[in-house]
Amino acid sequence: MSTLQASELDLQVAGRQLLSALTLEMQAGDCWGILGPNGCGKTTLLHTLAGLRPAQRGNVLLDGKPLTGLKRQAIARELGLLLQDNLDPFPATVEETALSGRHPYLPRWQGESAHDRQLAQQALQQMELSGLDSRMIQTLSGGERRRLAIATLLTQNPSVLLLDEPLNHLDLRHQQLLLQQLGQWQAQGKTVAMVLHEPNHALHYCNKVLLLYGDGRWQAGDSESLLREAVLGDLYQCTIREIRSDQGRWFYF
Amino acid sequence: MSRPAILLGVLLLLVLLALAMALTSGSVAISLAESWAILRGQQGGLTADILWELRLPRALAAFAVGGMLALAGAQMQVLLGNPLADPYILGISGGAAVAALLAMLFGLAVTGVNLAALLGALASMLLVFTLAHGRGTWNATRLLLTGVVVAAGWGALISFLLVTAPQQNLPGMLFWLMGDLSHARHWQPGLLILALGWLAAQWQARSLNLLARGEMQAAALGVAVTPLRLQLYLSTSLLTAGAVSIAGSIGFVGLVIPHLLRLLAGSDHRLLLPASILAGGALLMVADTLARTLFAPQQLPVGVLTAMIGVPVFLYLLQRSQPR
Repeated sequence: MSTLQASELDLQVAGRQLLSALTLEMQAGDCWGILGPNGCGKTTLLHTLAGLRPAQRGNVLLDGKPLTGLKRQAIARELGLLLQDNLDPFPATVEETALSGRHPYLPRWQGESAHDRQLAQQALQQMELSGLDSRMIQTLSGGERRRLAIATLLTQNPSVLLLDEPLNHLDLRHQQLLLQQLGQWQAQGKTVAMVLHEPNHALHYCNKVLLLYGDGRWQAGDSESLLREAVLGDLYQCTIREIRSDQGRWFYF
Repeated sequence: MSRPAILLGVLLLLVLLALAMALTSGSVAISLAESWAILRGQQGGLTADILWELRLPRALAAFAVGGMLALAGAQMQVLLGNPLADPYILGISGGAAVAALLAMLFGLAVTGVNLAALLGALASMLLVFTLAHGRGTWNATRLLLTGVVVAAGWGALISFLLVTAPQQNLPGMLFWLMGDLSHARHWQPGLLILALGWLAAQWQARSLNLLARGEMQAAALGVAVTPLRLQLYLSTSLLTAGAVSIAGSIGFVGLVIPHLLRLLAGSDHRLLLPASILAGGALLMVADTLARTLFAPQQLPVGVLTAMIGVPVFLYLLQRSQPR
């Protein structure tokens, strides 16, 4: 299983310093929640951690090796990314889309085998998309497309998963389904980091959190100890209250 | 048999039928049996000369040009992430046209005009590449904008040349601009470029499927996007340069053939690329045969015919294939 490290990472967008000297290690079995206000660089950080965007300074290390020295295909076998949105200018079927998760494992001239198809089918089944195999993705709803993107990631089956607002567009049933999936990933020893907007999800489903303030400052630590009324109020610049029940702590506003 | 095999089989049959049509029709009727005997070297004489010297080279050139344009179009659409892109959108054909028209004005012969077109296409390709690459990164929008603006510049130069050209040069120039295979002799380099272009594209076919889903998604699934883009740009440019220098700027094939096959066969480029080559080649062979026989002895520019055949076929398929 894999670890993902950021070392002295600086991020700038349009001349604005979003993040200074981020240094942290995401270990196997960790689930990180990344929280922060709009435009603080959550997505930019996720793309940088995936090696899709150069950092202004510093390094991202996958199992101790800098991403910049690895081939994209080698990275894709270890590390997967769920994008915030998927553009699909060209028609494609649901099954083809899920199968694309096998791309990093297949040699150039080799087609998908029955085994690959089986993996894609399993992933579609997990995301409750069975029976839609031959549907064109353009005819799916926003939530179904989101589940298809997650199914593609399940087919890819990397050991580090970076998820950008994974609960977007999902109805309650499928939010639950995905949150259960998180538990399975953790149990399998995978490393998960996800951008979230709901501190309660971070508190209850992540063991670690990273808070981005958007001006270079950041804070990382155990979700249980770091997530407090005052800290969240300072992060989002608004009033946030906490209630305690026998079900644990909850934030509301 | 699987669906891809059936589709490729049908298209191959269409290519053979188109070839048979191209060989047998014309001012001198040559029957199918006769053509076969000539091709096997069992018959000589005037009909054999017509077949070997005129019809076969022209049919092969038509196939090569149609195949190159369709292959370039399929790749250009992925490169620009835009299903409406065609091989001429980045100004390759404009550069070729300006050079070819100038060559005609200077009174160069066919080979000279072809060579000038090739040089013009390559010059335009380098110009757009340098400008779009500029400082900073390659992105599809910047490339598209640069190419479209350069193409507009060539368009203005073409109009200028047409307006100022002597009257007797105009028909030849217009034929070239609409695409014309009557002087196409260079089928060997055409087929060679087509074969190399196809191998290079087929090698990247699965990566093309991913790039069609957006560069971020492609990169996240293990595609090295920048080298792939570079290859696509070079390959589409060279294929287009090859096609226009053999036959002028024949429209329609590069835009519509890949589209038509996306409707029929889906977006898997492993199938789409060879299917585009076969369909593009067949369409151009049929169109060229009609262009030289419909109003014989008057020859039509083949570009007129490709659109006349292609437009109704495409519209019919588009109507039929409402989203499932």
